[in-house]
Amino acid sequence: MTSGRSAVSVVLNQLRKTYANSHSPLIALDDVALEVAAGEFVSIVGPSGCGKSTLLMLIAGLLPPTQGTIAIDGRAIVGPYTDVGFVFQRDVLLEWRTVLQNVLLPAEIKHHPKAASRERALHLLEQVGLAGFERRYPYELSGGMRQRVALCRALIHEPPLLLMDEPFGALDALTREAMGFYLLRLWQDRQKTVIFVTHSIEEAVVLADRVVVMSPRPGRIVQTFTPDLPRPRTQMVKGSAHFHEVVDAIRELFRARGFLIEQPSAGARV
Amino acid sequence: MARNGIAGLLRQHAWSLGTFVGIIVAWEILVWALRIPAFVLPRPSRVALLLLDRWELFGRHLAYSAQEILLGFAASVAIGVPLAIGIVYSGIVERISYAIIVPFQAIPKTALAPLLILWFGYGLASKVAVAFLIAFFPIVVNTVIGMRSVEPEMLHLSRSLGARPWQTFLKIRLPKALPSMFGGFKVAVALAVVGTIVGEYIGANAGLGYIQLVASANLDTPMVFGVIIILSLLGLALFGLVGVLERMVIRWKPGEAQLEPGRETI
Repeated sequence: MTSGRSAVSVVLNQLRKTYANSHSPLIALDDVALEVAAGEFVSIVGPSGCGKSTLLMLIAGLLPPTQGTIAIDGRAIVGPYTDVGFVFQRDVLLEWRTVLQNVLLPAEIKHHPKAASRERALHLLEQVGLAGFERRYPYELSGGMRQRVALCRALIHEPPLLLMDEPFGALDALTREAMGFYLLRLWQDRQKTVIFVTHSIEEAVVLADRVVVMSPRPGRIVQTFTPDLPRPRTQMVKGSAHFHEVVDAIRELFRARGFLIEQPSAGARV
Repeated sequence: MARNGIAGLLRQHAWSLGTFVGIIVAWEILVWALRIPAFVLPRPSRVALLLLDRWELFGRHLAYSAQEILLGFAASVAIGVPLAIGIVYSGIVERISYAIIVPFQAIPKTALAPLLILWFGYGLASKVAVAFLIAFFPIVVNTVIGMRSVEPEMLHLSRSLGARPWQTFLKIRLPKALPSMFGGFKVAVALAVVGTIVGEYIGANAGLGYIQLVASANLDTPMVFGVIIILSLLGLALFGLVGVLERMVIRWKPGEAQLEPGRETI
């Protein structure tokens, strides 16, 4: 299962997004320029209100930018880019579908061959430790299990690009850490391009090739960090001196800029 | 649920059953002991005998009323659900419908019954119209609420997959709305009974409301009670019917018996 379409590059050029509110327009993003290489894992961290979610919507072509351009694999994005896997903070599983049927939803919508999709779904579920749960309904699963199903759903149609909007933000600290390594395993096998939005500095550093720090309102890219940590990454990463250097450097940047680090609702700071 | 069949069911409902039987017995004794005349308060046994004795009469009028109720209810589903879909999908339909429905909702529907009888006559049509009007609103509202309860993330996901609008509707919006829609159907079917009976009070030549009105004018109180009992059973049966349909359609809902607390997995 090393197949799948090759990963794509994402190029954001001078992006600006304003929301026309009643009085003054709200500038959500300003002057955002970013190049993500094919197969790269980029984390975006920033305080709340830095327009991280808006950025993902723009990349997916679900919202038009006010200014600037987005190109995926060199092609400009003007409408929804339909070759993407989305994971949100809420798992938004369909409660009337079994685990397997939930994973298969994108393949169904895209009319992919049934038997092959089914096979892939079973394999994905096995990889995230959910073999034997195919016929369960979402209400029978814990939060971590549900989010793993959402992860499989995002990968079933083999998209070359994964957009993740604080995917593990609602989980407890232990589950959250485990989810990160599930994700890395899946990514290791497939080498998708991943853009991963998070509130947690440590989570960003553990997972990503590159960590992009954004400022709040208007959201701008402040600085980029490239942690030089070996792959494949395991729990051991957190013990290395370099890991702590990078985390401390980002935290110092936050402090210097006066950004508030939001405590995630579940109290889950990794 | 029904682990031990009928015996288990009886044990489960022993208290409510016992209380019910106790009240009937107390009523019977009280009427007999205080010598209350039947036109004020008939003995339960007398009402029961009347029901057995005149089952043909009751049956005929029950069938007539049930027909009115079901037709009115069916019409409110057939028109209410498509209208709700229109409201969810079109801003223009939403604004126009709300401009009509909201002020209309201020009118007690039963107050329209005299007009409807004037327009549609003493027969079936006027009662169907009252039942329809009274059952319509909860169906529209609950269907709209249900379809709007889809999470925005789910709609983003569906759009990002390039889903066609009908795919999003059939695979996401409609199943998501079903529990709320059935909630509306249950309220609506109970209201349809009320609408039909009120319609029959005001102008009819058949139906349970009609024979009750005649019985009441003749001080035939046992007959009045008989109709009340038949109506209660009819209401229960219709509510149960919608409930059975609901369980057939919504199979994924966690029934209490299926939930196993304490079996938590990470």
